[in-house]
Amino acid sequence: MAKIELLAPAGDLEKAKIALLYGADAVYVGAKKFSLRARASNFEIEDIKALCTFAHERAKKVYVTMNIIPHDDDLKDLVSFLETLAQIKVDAIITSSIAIITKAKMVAPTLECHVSTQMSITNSKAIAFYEKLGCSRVVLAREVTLEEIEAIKKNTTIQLEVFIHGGMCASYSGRCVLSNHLTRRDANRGGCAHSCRWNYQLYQGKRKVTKKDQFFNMGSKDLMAITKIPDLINLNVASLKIEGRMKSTYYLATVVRCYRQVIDEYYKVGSISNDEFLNYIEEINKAENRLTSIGFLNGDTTINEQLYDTRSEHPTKEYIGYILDYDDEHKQALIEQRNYFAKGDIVEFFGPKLENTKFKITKIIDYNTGEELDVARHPLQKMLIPLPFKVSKDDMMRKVK
Amino acid sequence: MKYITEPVNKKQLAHFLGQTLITDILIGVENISSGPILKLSTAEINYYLTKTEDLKISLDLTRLFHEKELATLKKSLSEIDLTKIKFIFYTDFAILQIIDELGYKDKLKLVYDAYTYTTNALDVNIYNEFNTYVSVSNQISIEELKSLLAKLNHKAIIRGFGKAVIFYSKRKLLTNYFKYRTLKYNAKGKNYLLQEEYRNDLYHIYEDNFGTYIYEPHYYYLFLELDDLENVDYVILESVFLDARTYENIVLAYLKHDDNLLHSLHLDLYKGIMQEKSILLKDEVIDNGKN
Repeated sequence: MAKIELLAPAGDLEKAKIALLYGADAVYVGAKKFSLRARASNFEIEDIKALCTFAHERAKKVYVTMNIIPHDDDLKDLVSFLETLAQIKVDAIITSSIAIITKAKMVAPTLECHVSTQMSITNSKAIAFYEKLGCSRVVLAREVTLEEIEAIKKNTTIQLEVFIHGGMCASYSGRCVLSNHLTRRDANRGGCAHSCRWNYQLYQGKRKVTKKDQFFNMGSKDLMAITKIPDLINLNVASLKIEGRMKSTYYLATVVRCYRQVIDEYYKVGSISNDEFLNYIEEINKAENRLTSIGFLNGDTTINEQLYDTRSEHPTKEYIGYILDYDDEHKQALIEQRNYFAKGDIVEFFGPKLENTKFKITKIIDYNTGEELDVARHPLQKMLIPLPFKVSKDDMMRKVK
Repeated sequence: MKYITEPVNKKQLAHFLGQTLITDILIGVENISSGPILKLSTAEINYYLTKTEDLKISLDLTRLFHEKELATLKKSLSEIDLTKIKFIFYTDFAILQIIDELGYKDKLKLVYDAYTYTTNALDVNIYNEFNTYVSVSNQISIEELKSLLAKLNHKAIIRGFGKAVIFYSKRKLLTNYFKYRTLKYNAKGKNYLLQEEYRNDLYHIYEDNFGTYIYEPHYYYLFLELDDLENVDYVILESVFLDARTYENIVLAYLKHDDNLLHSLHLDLYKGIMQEKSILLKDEVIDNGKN
């Protein structure tokens, strides 16, 4: 049985590399065309090519999202785009257009086609249709329960990909044009205004149902399925997907690393205790700034999976530094500033191979001037911090208090 | 160009079946179809199928089916005399497989009707390879629709009148909301409306066993434009949230090609989303302040 894939999002090349370094087996990225997150994408073809090289050197994969639901004008240059993706050795495209699937099979047969969750596939018979088209994987709708995944798995041999973390649509994905009507921004072409998270008044006929200072809300809490990872591994799904191409490098590093550890731990030991899960959840919450739930995995959503009367965001532990190097001889780290910190702050270091390690900063030295500083004020400022333990390039530092 | 009608109730269904001018009737199947449309049991459908010699009745199965529902879906379809059904409108490819399994693949006329996916000619042409017809999206501009239809290598079905579903969720959003507020929810209510905090439009919101649906705030309509559209065989006239008398007048207006009659009904008509292209959000759009 192949080990389950951990698939992470990335909005730019730096994030993609971090996701891979922190434990993702594959990353999915959007180019400036054909992708729902076109606005967030910083991927030129050259970046995707560089990412493919970086990933393949590490036996990892790169998927490119072509998940808009196109209008006629959007399909210009489709063939040349697909040919280019094949030439630069992208492993697969993730798409929601049968036209894109069909063209890809014709002009770029080395590209695997994964059916996007935008198609909201909820059963094995619909999967069979896409399998006949030559698709190798289906990303299941986020509305599917664990029990249903098990039933689907029994009726298909195609690879299944399941979302485990990140934002949830209130509607079936790809079946909502609320944003189009409220803002003229096309939800299925990268313009979703998240109108489902806005405040509404509810009426029954002419009678107002919502009370004064209250609203009707339909927004969803984000998904956090870390406790279901053992079940999903046991069900032999192919890939576990984290959502969030708009998310920060720090978020990606934290979340990807946690899921990597859970997956590896389960394969190694065969079980994960509740206390261990609580520790992992606590770790994710250092970067997760939205309320989370189990989504549909246990069954139909209840009030516990919905957002009411609340702004969904809460502060996270601050990401304050990115490790560029460590000098073994002088026992000091070269750190690039990401957020304000000061001498005396308690910080925590973490990384792909570094256990969380707390430390009180006693000295900050400007890397360029050698001057000792009381505070690190400037973004991307490089500084040296004496550290009695070894850290490595790509580790991160966050503020504890 | 023919019109596909949606009778509001059984009385209107019986009436429409007897009208020679009405060639097509679309109904739902009880416990299978979703939304506030006329839904009949399989026995009732078989009964009405005997009431006309013509192939007139089509089934609306345009929702997503979960794995555990497939057996019920197949059983319900097997109970209906599908040889007398004109079209099956569907949005989930499970239907295609089930019809095949039931032995009707080459005998039944299937219509792929996924309004958010049929937005370009290339997709529509490929979807049509698996179906008799494809229903083209009503969520594109009229100009896009004209251009799309002109590029088709077959005839299509379009929506001519109605309130489109603009949000389709598996979540029981009304049930959950009323539970959260500890208010009493009238589960049979069809007249719940949403109004966004800073906007005036009212959107019907409807919940059934299969989820929650939100509808366009106004009735979109194509009328005079129909004459300019190529490759259209059928036009659907939707009836959601209309009473039987009003709907009959709407059907009459289309059959008589009487724009004045349509406007005399004082409905909240608009071209809305069809008048302007929606935005594919790109940085330059934001930078130009057009958004």
